[in-house]
Amino acid sequence: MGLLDFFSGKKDAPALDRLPSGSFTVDRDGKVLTSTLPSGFPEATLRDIGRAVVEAMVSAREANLPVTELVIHFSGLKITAKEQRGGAMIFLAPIR
Amino acid sequence: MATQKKILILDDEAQFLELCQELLSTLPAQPEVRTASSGAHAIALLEAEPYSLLLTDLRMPNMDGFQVLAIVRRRFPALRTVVMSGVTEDEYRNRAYAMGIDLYLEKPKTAQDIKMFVDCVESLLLREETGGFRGVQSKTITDIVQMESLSQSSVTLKFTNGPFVGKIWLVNGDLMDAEVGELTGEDAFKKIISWKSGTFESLPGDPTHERRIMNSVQGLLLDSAQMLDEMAAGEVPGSGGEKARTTSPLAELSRHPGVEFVVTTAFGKGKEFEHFGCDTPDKTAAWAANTAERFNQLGERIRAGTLQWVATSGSQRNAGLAVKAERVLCAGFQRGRTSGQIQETLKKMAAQWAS
Repeated sequence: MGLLDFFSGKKDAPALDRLPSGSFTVDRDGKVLTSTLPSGFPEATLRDIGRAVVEAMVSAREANLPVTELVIHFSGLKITAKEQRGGAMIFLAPIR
Repeated sequence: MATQKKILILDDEAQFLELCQELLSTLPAQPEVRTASSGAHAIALLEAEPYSLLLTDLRMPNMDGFQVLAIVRRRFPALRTVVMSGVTEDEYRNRAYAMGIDLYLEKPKTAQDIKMFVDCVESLLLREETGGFRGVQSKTITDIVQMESLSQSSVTLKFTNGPFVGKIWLVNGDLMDAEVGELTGEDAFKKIISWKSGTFESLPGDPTHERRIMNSVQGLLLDSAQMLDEMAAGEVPGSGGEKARTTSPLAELSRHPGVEFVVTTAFGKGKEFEHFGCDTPDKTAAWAANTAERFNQLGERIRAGTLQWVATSGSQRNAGLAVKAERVLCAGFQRGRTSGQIQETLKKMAAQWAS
């Protein structure tokens, strides 16, 4: 059965990250203000998402496409962002 | 002579790679099997030469399987991909299928599982060779319709080609009707017949369905074959050889409902672009290129998978972005379109743009 043991899974393999579900708000600089995401969820990732969303909204305004809502659809996650006085309220929903 | 198939296996366990390499080298197709122990190495190998199939694990250090799949989907959209993992949760299986993989296999535990694994890989390699519709490999739609007609079946044939769904109704082998989008009858039949690949399902017949096609199956198939030959030769179908006028592909894309303008560009600064009907194409192209690249990188960093589309709503105008292999399609929409409507239209536009 030695051969089959190789197939039966890894002992030290890193766990896969779960995609987040919840919402948070960011200010106009992308700083996270409030969040309903689990406390264990890395804040750096939230900042990353928040900054990308706010920057996209600012650059859209500069391109004469002012944005009040932005929906970004990945194969595994949907991000919906609503503009709020320069900042944004952002909803994260994994795609099942 | 057929070229030798190449398979790339990605896993961080050297012994597992060695075993798989040995197993797959014995396939009847006699593929060349290469291995990589990290995502970066696998991407480098894929960039160096074309492969028929990538088999990847999910749980790996540094770059996991989802990150590799996201890059592969973007850079090598035609490459067939198989996930082979010990991860059994549906959440990850669904996520992998959503990224466009061909097959999700759990790592084999029994001799029977190993045989099935080998058979699945062989079948995928053959599928690449023969093309055709998933469900009935190596058969064209013409073959399928002829087969059902000759066996006098009462059946509803459902074909899916990207976002488009077409149906053909047969009752006792007679062609009753066809439907795709807003087209019905013979026009819809000819449209469906022109599809080269997709998925196929055979649904129960509907003898009560209204008959809108009076022509025979053979007559219509002949007409359709002639039309396809003429189109392939760049002629206007039915014109006796008159060459078709070329319209801008972007103008064609702008015919979708609610579309005001279309801009295409590549990731980066968006300096090189094409557009149709846009007032400020340079600014729009720069925004589209920059936004698509920004969110594509975000997707890779947070492991959310491939960026599929972006929709914006605003006080003046709505817009949508679709991405295909580092190219960006940006469309402006009339106000009042919902993000769902934008998504549906973008899907159709992206499929048309990619073809």
